[in-house]
Amino acid sequence: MGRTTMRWLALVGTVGAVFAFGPTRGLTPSDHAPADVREARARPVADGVQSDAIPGNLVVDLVDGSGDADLAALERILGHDLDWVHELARDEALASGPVPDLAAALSALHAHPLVEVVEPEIMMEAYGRPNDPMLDKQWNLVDIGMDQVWTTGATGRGVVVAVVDTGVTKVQDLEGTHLLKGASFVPGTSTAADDQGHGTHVAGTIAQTTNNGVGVAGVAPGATILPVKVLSGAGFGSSAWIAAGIDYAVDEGADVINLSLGGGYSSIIHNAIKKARDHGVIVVAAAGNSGRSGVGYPGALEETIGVAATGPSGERAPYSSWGKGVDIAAPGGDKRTAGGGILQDTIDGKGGHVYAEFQGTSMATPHVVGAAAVLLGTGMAPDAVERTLLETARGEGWDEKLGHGRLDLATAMGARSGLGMGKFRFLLGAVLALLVAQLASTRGSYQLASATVSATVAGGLFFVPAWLLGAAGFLSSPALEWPAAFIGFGFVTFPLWLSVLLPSAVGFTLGAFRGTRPIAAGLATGSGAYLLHAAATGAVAPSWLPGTVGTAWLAVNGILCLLVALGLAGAQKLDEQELR
Amino acid sequence: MTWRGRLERRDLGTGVWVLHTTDGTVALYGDVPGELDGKAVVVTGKAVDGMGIGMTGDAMVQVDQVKPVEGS
Repeated sequence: MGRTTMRWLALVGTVGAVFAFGPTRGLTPSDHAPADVREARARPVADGVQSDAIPGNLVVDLVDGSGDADLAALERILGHDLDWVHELARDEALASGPVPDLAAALSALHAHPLVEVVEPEIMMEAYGRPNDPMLDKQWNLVDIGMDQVWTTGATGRGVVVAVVDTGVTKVQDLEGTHLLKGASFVPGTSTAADDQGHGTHVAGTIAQTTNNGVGVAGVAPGATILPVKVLSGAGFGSSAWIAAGIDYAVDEGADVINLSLGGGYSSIIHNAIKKARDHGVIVVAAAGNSGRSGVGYPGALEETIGVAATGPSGERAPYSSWGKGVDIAAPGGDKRTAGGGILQDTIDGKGGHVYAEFQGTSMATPHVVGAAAVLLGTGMAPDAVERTLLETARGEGWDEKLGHGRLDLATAMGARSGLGMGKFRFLLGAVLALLVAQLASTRGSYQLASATVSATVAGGLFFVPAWLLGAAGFLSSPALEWPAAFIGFGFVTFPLWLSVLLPSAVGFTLGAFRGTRPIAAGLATGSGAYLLHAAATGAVAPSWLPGTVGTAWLAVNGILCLLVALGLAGAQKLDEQELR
Repeated sequence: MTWRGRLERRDLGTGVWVLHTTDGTVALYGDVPGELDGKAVVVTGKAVDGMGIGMTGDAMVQVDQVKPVEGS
C-alpha cells in the first residue's frame, strides 16, 4: 500500500471516527413548530430592550429571496438608504441603516409584505452585567453562572418555552419579553392570563426582560414564552387540563416545557409528556416540596428532568423532595436567610404588579428551563442540551438530594467550546489539516500554519484563561462562532454559514496566493472539522433544517470543506514544485 | 366531605395551605381565610386527583368552606 493511499485512509478514518464515536444526534428544536411560531422565533428579542438600542439604527429582515429592487421599495417608504448587512447573509435578506425617526420607521415597515421582521438594531452587548437595578438581589443568577453567560450574548433567542402553569400576565418587567397569546385549559377562564401569581413569577425567571433598566433579570430573556394556563386561580389543575395543555404546547411548537407543578401519577399526563419527548421537546418538572424522600409526578418520570431546589448556600432547601427522579438541582430559594428567596416580578392580585420573593421547587425548575433555552438558542440539539446540563452540573456523581448536582450554565456553555468539545474539535481540526496537507506532501511550514488556523477555527482559544480574555471571552469558542458575540447565535446557525460557502470564498481569494493559502486551507479544514463534529454530536444544529436533513447538511458540507482544503494543498504542492 | 385539623400556611411559591388531621396531612386548594393560620378548623370540600403548585406530597382537597372550631 502506497503512502498516498495510507494518507487517504487516515483522512477517511478520522472523519469516520468522528461519526463512530460521537453521541447520537437528537431532534432539531421544534421541527414541528407551526408557521406562526416559526414566525415568532424570528421576531425581535424584546423590541430592543434586552440590549441597548442604537438610536436611529434599523435592521430589517426582508422576505427570503428579496433583491435590490425590493430593498429600494422599502428605502422609498423610509426616505432613507438601507444597506445589505453582509453578502453571506443575502439569502436571509438582512438590511440595516440609520433612520431619523426610529418609531416611525418601525411603524411604517412593520406590516409591509416584504418585511418578515423589523427592529431597532441592538448591540448584543460588549458584554457585562445587565443594568436591571435589582440584579444584586438575584443571588440565584450568580449561582448558576450567569455572569459568564452574559459575556457570550446567548439569550435563548428563537426558543419557545411553554409555561404550563397558572397563566402568565405581562407585568411591567415582562413588557419587553416576547409573549405568545397562549391558551387556557381551565374551565371558566378564556385567556392564559395569570390569576394566581405563580406562573408569571416562573415566566420571569425564564425570560424576565433583561438589561432594560427596570426590576430584575431572567435566565433566557431572548426566549419566547408560550403561556398555557392549566391551573386555576387556586393553584390546582386536573390531569385532563394539564395533559391537554402539554399537548397544546407541543402542537404550538414549544421547544421546552416548564412544569412547576406536581401531584400523584397520571397516565394521561405521562402520555402527553411522552408525546412531547417524541417531538424533541425538553420537559422540565419540579421534584416537589414535601421536604422528604419521594419525588412527585411528573418530576419523577423518566421523560422529565426532575429539579430539586437549593438555597443561597448551595445546600438542598429544606422543603425540597429527594430520591429517584431528581436529575439536577437549581436555586429555588430558602427564605430562612434574608433575601434568600427567588425575586421576580409578578401580579399583586390587585391589578398591579409586585417584585416578590418566592421559594419552592417551582422556582428552581424555571432556572433549568431557562438554561435549556439558552443552550438551544446556540444551536445545540435537545438531546445534547439535556446531556450537557446534567454532565456539567456541580456534583460528584448522582445523589438522591441534588441529582447530578447544581445547575451550572456557565460550565454548560463552556462545554460547547471549552475543555470538552473544544479540546476535541481543536485536535480534530489540527489532525485533519495535517492529514490533508500530508496527502499533498506540502512543506512543513504550510502544514503547521494550516493546522494552527484549522484548530482555532474548529475549537477556538479554549485554553486561554477566561480572566485573560475578559470581554473577549468569545475567543474561547470556535472561530466559526465568534460572530455570535456581535450579531447573535441566529447567524452562526444559519445554514449557509454552516456550509462550504465561506471556505470556498476564502479559498478562491486568499487561497490564490501562496502566502495566505495556509489560512484559507486552515479555514477549510477547521470548518470541515467543526461541521463533521456537529453532525456527529448535535453540538450545533442548523436553523430550519430538521433532524436528519440538518445532519446530512452538516456532514456533506463538512466533507466538501475538506475537499476544498485538499484542492488548496494540491495547489500549494504545485507551487512548491515550480519553485524548485 | 369534611376534614378536621390544624391549619398551616407554608411559604412555598405564592403560599400553600395544609391541614394537619389525625389521619395525616392534606393540601388545600381554594379560599382559606388568612387569619385562621395555626387554628383548628373544619374544612368542607372534596378530595381531588390532579396536580398543583404546592407539591407537598399530600392528598389534595378542593375547599368549599373553612370554619374555625369554636374555642380553638
